Amino acid sequence: MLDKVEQKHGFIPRDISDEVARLLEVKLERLRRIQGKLDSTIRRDVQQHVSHWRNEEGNLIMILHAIQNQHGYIPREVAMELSRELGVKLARIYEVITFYHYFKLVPPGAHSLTVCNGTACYLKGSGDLINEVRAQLGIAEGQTTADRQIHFDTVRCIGCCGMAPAMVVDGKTCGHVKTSDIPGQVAVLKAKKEKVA
Amino acid sequence: MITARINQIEVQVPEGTSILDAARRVQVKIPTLCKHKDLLATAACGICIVRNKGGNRLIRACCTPLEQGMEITTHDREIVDVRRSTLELILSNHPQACLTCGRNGECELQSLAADFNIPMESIKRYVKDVPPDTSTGSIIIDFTKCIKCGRCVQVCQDVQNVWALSFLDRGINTRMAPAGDITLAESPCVKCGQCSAHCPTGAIVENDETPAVWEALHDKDKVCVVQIAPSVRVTVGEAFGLPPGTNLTGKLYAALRRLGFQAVFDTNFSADLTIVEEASEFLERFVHKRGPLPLITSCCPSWTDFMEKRHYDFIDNFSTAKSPQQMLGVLAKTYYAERLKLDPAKIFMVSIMPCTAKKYELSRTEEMFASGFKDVDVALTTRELARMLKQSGIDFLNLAEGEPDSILGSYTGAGTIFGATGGVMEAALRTAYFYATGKKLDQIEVEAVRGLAGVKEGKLNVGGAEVRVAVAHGLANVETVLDRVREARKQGKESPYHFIEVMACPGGCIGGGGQPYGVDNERRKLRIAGMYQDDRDRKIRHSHENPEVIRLYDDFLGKPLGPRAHELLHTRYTARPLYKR
Repeated sequence: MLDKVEQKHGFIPRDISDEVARLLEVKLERLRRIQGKLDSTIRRDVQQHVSHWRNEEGNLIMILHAIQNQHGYIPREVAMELSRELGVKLARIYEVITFYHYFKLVPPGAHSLTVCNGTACYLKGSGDLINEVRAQLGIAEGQTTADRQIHFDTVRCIGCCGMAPAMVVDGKTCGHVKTSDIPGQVAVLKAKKEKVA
Repeated sequence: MITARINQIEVQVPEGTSILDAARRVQVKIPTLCKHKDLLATAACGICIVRNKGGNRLIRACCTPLEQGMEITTHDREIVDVRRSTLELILSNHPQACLTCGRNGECELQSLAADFNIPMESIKRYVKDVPPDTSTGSIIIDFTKCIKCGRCVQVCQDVQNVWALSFLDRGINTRMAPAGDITLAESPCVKCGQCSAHCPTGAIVENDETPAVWEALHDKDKVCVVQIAPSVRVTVGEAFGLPPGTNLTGKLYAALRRLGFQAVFDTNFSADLTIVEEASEFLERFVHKRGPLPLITSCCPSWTDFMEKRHYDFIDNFSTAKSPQQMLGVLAKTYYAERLKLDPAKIFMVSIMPCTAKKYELSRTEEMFASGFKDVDVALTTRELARMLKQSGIDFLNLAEGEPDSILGSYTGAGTIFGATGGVMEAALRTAYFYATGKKLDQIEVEAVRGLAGVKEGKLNVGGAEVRVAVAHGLANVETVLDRVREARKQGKESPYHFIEVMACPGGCIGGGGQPYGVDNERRKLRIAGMYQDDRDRKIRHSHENPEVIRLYDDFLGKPLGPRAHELLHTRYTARPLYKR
C-alpha cells in the first residue's frame, strides 16, 4: 500500500501514514522507519530546487512553483524541509502559500469539476448548478471528495460567455449546462475512478 | 528638526517622527487600535486617520511622518464620522460578548466603542463561528475576537523570533493562526504570552485558572499555600490604579492571607536558593572546569522551551537548577510539610507569576513532580490575582502590611531583582564572587547588566580571573549572543562568554506576558526601578546570606549541589520538535 502512496506523492505524507497505521494496525514507529528513508528523498528534491534558485531574489515563490509542479500541491513535509534548507521560517512560507490562490496545500483530486461563476454564467443560473454539484458531491467549492477522486471549484470567467452557464469537466468545456445534467456528469466522473492513495 | 502645526498648535519634532507621536507631544490623542508603542506601525485598523491641509484624502497618523509645514487636523466632523464608521465595521465582525470576555473592562476596542458611544445593539454582526484554541493550557486564542491588527504576529515573529503566529490567507479571509491548520500547542509557541500582553482585545488571553484556586480555598481538606514571584509586587498595583513600580509586598502578604491561604511564601526566597545552586554550578564549571561553559540561566520557562526547540545544541550549557517557582513548590511539599507535620497530599500550592509560561512549566517534565506530587498545583498570572482580589471584597490598597511565613519566606535584595532583566546575573555574580574570593564585591550594583538594551555585556574580575557575561531579553536577542558562542566553537576558540542570562520577555519578568496590560518601555523602566529600590531597601543583599536559606541547607538539604539538592532542585532538558505536526 505504501508503495502506491509513494508512487503518487514521491514520499509518504504524514497524514496518510497515520491513517495507514490505523487501518493496518501497524505500529506507527515501523512506518516512520520506512518513512525516514523516504524523507531523504524529500531532502534531496528540496536541495535540488533550492540550489537552482539559491541566489535569486524572490526565490521562495519560484521554489514553491517547482514543488507544486512536482507534487500537484505543497506537502507539509516538503514545506518543512524547505524551511530548514532555505532558512525561512515555516510560518512565513505558509503566509506566502496561503496568500496566493495558485498554491495548494492539499493534493488535488484525480478529476476536476469547475463551474464558471462569471457575470454571464451567474445571470444564466450558475448558482443553481453550484448548489446541485454541492448536493451531488457532498462538498463545497474549493474542496475535494474524501476519496480524493473529484475536486470541485468555481472560477470567475472561462471566456465562454456565449455558452453560459458553462462548466469545465476534466479540462473539457461544457456549455448551456442544465441542473439536470449535473448528476450524469458526476456519475461519469465517479465511474472513471482512478486508483489513488 | 521639523516644524509643523497640529490642530493649530505648533510642534517641533525630529525628522521621521510619525504624526501620531508628534501629536502626543502636544497632548493631542489620536485614537488607534493597531499601533502599539513597542511595535512598528502596520496601518491595519484605519482609526488614526487625520487630515493635512490641502491634501485630498485622509492619511494614517501612525505610519505617516510629520513633514515641514504640515497643518494637521486630527478631529473634525468628517474625520470623527469616518472613525466611527471604521469602528462600526470592526464591531460588525466582533462578537457581542463583552460581559463574559476575559478582557472585559480592559479592552482597547471596548473603551473606544464606549468613547464613541456606539449603540452596540444596532450593529449587524457577521461573526464566523471558529472554536477557540485552548491547546496550550497557558494561552487561549479566541479567533472570533481578533481584529487583525497584527500586534501579536509582529511581537511573536519580530520581538520574540518564535514564529508561532502568522497571518494566513488574504483580504477579507485573512486570519491569524499558526502555520497550517494546527493548534498552538503543536506550533513553536513558547507560551511567553507577549501576544496576550499586546492584543488590544480579548482575542488572546491567559487561561484563567482562578476557579480551581477558589475551589481549593473553599475545600476544608486542603491546606492552601501560596508564593509570590519577584516582579508581581511592583506591578499588581497597576491593576488598582497605582503607578508602575509601586512595591506592595506587605499588602500582598496580608491580602493573600485574607483570601484564605494558610501560609504565604515568597518566591524571592527560592530565587535566593536558585542563586546559591546556580552560583555553585557556575564555580564548578568556571573554577574547577567541570562542565561546559558558558553556563546559561534556565529560570525562564519560555526560554527553556525555546532552547529545547530551536537551540538544543546548548542543552549541556543550561543550568540544571530549577526555576524559583518549582524550587519553592517542591520544598513546600517536602521540607515545610515535614516541619509542620502536614500531609503533603493535602497541600495545595498556588504560585502568583508574571507569566503565562509558568502554567506550562508546572508539568514540563517529571522533575516537576519531585515531591511525589505536583509540586505547584496552579500558577496564576498577576492579572488573575488582581481579579481574585477584586472579587474577594478585600480593600487591598488600605490593608496593613503583612508578613510572610517563616522557613520559606525571607528574602534578600538579590532575590528580588530576579524580576528585572539582568537581575539573575547580578545576583549570581554577587554570590559567585563571594564563593570564589571569600570577599564581597566592592560595587554590588552591577551596572553593566542593568537597563533595557537588548543585549548587555560585562566583564568582572573574580579573584584574578576575568568573567565575561552576557544578558539578553526578548527572545529575538538571544540568537545574537548564541551565534557568537557558536562562531567561537566552530573556530575552536574560547567562548566569548562564561555566563549568559536569558529572559524571554522584553524587560524580564516585569514585562511578562501575564502582567497588567499597557506595557511599554516607560512602564518597564518604572517597574524595574521598583525592583532595584526593593533591593536597596533590604539589609541583606546577597542570596547566600539569607538566614532561612542557610537554615534550609543545614537542616534539610545538606550542601549546594549535594545529592538531596540534586534530587529536589534540579532538572533535565531534551531536544523537542519545533512542530509537532
